[in-house]
Amino acid sequence: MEVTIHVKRGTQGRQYYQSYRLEVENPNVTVLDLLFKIRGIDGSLSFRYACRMGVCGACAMVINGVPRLACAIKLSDLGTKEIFIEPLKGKNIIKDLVTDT
Amino acid sequence: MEVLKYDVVVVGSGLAGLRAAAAAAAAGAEVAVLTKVSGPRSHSISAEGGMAAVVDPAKTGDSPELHAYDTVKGGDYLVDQEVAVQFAYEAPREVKFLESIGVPWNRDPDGSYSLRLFGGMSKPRTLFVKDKTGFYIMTALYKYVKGLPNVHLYEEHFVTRIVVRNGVFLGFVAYDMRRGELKGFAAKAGVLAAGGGGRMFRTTTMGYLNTGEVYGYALRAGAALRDMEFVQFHPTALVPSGILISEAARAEGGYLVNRLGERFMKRYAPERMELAPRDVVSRAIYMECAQGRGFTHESGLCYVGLDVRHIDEKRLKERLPQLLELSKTYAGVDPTRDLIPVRPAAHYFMGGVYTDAQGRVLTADGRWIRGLWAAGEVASVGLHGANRLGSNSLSECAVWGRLTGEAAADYAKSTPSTPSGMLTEEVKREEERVHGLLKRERGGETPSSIARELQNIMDEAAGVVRHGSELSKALGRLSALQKRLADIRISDGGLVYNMELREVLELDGAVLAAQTILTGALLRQESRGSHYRLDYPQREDKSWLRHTLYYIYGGSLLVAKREVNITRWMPEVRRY
Repeated sequence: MEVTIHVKRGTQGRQYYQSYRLEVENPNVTVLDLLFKIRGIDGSLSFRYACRMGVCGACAMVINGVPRLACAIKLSDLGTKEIFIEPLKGKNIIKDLVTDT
Repeated sequence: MEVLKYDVVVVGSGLAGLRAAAAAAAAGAEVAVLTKVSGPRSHSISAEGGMAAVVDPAKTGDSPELHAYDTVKGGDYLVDQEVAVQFAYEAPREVKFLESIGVPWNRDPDGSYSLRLFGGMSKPRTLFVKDKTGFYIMTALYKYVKGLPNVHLYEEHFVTRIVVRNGVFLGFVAYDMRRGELKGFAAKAGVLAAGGGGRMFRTTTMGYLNTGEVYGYALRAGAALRDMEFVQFHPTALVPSGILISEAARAEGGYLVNRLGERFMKRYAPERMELAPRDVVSRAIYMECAQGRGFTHESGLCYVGLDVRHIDEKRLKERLPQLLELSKTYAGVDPTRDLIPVRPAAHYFMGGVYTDAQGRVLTADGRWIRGLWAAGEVASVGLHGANRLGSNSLSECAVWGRLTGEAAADYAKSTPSTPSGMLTEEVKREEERVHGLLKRERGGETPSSIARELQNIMDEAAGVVRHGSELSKALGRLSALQKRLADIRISDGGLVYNMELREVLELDGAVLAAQTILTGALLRQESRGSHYRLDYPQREDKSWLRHTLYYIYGGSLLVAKREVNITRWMPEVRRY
């Protein structure tokens, strides 16, 4: 199935959405997996991650309007083929999805 | 360009690194911690099962000597025995330290520490907090270290070079990802505590940042690596992600079954069954799969079932809550009703930066690189031999974190300040190198395709079982990969939070480290601990009861053998 991912990118005050279309075979992929797929196409996209098992909290971001861990939320949990990803709100943006801590 | 000056600089902010920083700070040093991660997110946070220490000998009839003996036997006699003894005596003190800063160890109804029996241990001696031990330790330790006025945490500062001149440590160069610039850290003393390199393999329990470049950087700085061929595969990683299901599941009574519903460990370790050491259990799973008795996952991977259905549900929720969560989220199964699909995955590097028993970093001929220490998984202090016993790593990180931190602070006190001019030169050189990398927009491959190839090579040749001809082929592929790495493409031209740049720098060290693993695995013509050669299935004490050392001389990787410190227990047949 094809999914479209709209990622809010850029640095503080100079942000824009970039959209990526991905072909996904298994709906059990996590949003973090999808972001890695995007990095295969566009290596300039930046985001944080570490444990990839829902423990450390590094990959917190706003996914379809709700702050969640990208590694702990699956495509099938979202129930949509259109995903909006933004950095956490109320923080200075360093680059793309990476904010000040 | 900035060059900062400290007494002690620690690389890595996991348990070993933060423990070292805390100990150095307590001894009065000005300390910097350089870490590629942000916040308390080093891989120690994912530790699950627990921490081994003989805290209550009367309760279980345990002793530090027995802990040391189990460690020596578990490591297939490649353990430096006096190191194991020192470890067993020091570990209980670290349990108390962690408790004093807020780690809420599980306790039994009588108030004593709860203890689990882990694989290869003779007595229950593993302390734990549910199956989230690392999470509780890192949360407490990070908060504690943040509160120390003389420790400065430099997060998302990726070390690109260890600066050593004439056998003396001078400092580090690091890429500050948030500000997009290189910085020098001049220091009298340094502690390497950068963790393992599981991401050289495709199937690993380790987090995404455990890429292993510091092994390569240490080699380039003149240090030796030791015993790199010994990579531990954890028997129970979720299929297909490799996410760890703690050994605590088996310690609490879980067992392994094949496709025929058979508890197959009876064939491989009739006495200890699922609580045999990890190398034994991993090989057993491999054999079941090789002989067609495994399940097949939709991804094509073979696996076996971990069965915890017979364990009381209340106990599961109390003692293994993470197992329940991880199985549901990442495998879509409910362990109270279903088997958990598991297979072995790369989990721990027994080898590492060659050190003496105090954690001082050595060259191949045994000279100390003055001012430099290593602790935790990145180090090879001689504790784990050919196979680490589960729950010994948290104690190792804490014990040698403290010992190296204290020693580094003492050394800094008695050493005159080094001039930072050398560091300025080194930072300039690194800036040129990095800016050169950023101009490679038209090169061949992306960092992720190189990383994938590295993982394929390592999975195919350096897994649970190995063969000489596969290893030779793999070394050829790896040397071709090294050339491709020199012609890599970086599409992101910016310096701020450039992940491709970090990946290239990671690969630059990791490929060299991978070369030591493959070389060691090819040369070691025997089977010992985690290293199993199909073409040499026996342990050969006569020629191979030896450590392997790797070092760079004249631009080439060379290998040497070194005696094992055997003082108390003579090698015996390892049966479980």
